[in-house]
Amino acid sequence: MADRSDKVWITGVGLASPLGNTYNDLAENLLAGKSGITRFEQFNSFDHPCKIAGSIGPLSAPEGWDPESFATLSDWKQLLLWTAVNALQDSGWWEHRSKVRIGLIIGMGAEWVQVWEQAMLQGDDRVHDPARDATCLTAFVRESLGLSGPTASVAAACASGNLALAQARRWVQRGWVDVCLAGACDRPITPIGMAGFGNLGALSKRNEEPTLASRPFDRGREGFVVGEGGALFVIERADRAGSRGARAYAEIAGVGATSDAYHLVIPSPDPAPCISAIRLALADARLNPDELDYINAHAPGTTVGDAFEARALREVLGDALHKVPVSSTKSMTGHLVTAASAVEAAACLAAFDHQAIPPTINLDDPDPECDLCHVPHEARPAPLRTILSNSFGFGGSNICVVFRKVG
Amino acid sequence: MTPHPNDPYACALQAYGVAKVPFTEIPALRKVPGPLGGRKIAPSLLKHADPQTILGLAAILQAIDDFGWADRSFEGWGMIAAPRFIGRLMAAAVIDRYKRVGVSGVSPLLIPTVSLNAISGALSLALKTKGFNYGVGGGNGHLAEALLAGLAARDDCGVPGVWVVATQISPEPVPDLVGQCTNDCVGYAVALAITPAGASTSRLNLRVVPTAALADDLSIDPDTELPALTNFLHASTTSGRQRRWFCPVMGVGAIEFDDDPARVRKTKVAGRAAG
Repeated sequence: MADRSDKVWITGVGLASPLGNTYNDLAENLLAGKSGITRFEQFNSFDHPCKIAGSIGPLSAPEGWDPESFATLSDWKQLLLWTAVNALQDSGWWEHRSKVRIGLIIGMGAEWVQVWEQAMLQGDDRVHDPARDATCLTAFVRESLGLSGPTASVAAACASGNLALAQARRWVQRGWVDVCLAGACDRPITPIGMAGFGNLGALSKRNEEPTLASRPFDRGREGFVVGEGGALFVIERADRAGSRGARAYAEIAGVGATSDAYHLVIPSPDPAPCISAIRLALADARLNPDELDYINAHAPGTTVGDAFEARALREVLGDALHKVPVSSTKSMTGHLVTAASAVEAAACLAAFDHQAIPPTINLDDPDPECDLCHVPHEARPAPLRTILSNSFGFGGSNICVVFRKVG
Repeated sequence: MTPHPNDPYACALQAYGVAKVPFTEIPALRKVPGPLGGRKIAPSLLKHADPQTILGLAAILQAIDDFGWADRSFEGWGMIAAPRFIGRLMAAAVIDRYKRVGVSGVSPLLIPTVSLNAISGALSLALKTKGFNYGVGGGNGHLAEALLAGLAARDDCGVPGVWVVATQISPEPVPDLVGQCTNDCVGYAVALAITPAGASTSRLNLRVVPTAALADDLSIDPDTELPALTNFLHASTTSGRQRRWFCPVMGVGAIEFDDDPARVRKTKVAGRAAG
């Protein structure tokens, strides 16, 4: 047996997404090529130029949780508890969580601004009363679940989910925790959130055709569609997971992270930092580019971003460009902003499980600037051992992760 | 519970800078955040930046100046920044404007300015660092999260070093409807340049220690942690005594700053004198 001493596995998943609030639902809908984009109803969008999004709908109490107390919680707290409890239950640690030191790392990009905005919507001017902001959401989850390890909120814009996985791998490898719950969540479909992205000119306005609006790599793309939800994963050492007979979704085999250092908002015209992030992840996983079986692209459906990523992939893949399949699952889920790469990590696990590549839907007219080995419209069966998940965060934070199938 | 191993992943503190500035002086700092040396920082980067971004930059520039690093390139370095309650002032103003005028009242700069990674992104731009950059913390306990992140990522992705920056305003600013601060408060920032300890001869080292190894109980006071660290760093440069300082980390124990006075450096504090 290969040395497992430093390997880290994903052994549990809990999620909520525009394509379903369980791992199985997400997998089924991704591989069926379904869109989760609809007109949103979270608030009155009459003066918002973008009126569509990928919404998750109401969450029920996790199994074993009191529905009445769950119903009193904020949307954010419900999302975090739903994903955390389901991930721990899925991993088999739920009943034994007091016996190990479980850490918690959650990607959340603007926790407090969203808390203050949500209060505002309820007529509460909490932002003016700092004394009420004592407990952050990670502390709430830790206390609610009775976890004993350290916690962290982390953010690298759209790359936050990959960042959380990378940090969790380190915490586990360094023995600071026995097990780590890590991922990212976001609730960006709020009046100010949608106005902020809208005023940046980043969103699609294809309001009359929601399911056609998110179209990464397509010549007709015009911006991204916001999604909400998130995914948390249980991360532990391979030897621990193996000894308890846990289900291994995948190994976190490699991480690469860089910064553009170009502009707070405008994408860098220089692909070198993105290329470097991909290469670092491949080197960490000890893989050559042509050994990749699939790339889950960041590709949000913006004119500049998709072409930029394609340019980086062309440089990295070289002669393997037309051999390594690439798709953007944002075409179906929308762009979950801080939570994007977390849900895309779940998409990668689903691809391993089903040995099939989820498609890029709405890719009717591929942009020549995005010349890649696309998987348009329909899932493609394929033997999958290694997957690269790209995430290139707003403001130039690039974090790429290589997942490797276990067994 | 698995026994907590002695942490072999200690870091050397190669340089550090602190900022302690009355809130009313931050506008001046926005124009001149510190000794720039030969560095050029676009005014547009700071014009709309959150006050905590300005504080973080001031602390870094102070560190660079104090440790004679003006000519050093940080291109390969990583950047981790941990604010506390970033964006409260701007959020108060934007929320009020949204209530009054709707969508057009929301600045497109809101998201890039008040996100948890806004400071790390801005500092990465200012220093042109191309290693990883990300934000941590955001609420109480942000210093501990920043230090743990720095120790975890000290040599990830081939970075030669990591800047770890923590910022806060104490007491928290109370905004009016246009986002102006209405109370007396002080901005704090610490910038730490860390590398793997290895064979380093750095005077200060950081490491994770289990709680059981500490003589005293460590209580977490979210309002005084960062000021206490600024005081410790200031004292470490002016005192010959061997000193330690502990930052409690919930669920881990603490991060220990171990000061070996064999090498004495002199530091300054951006803005007013520390203490």
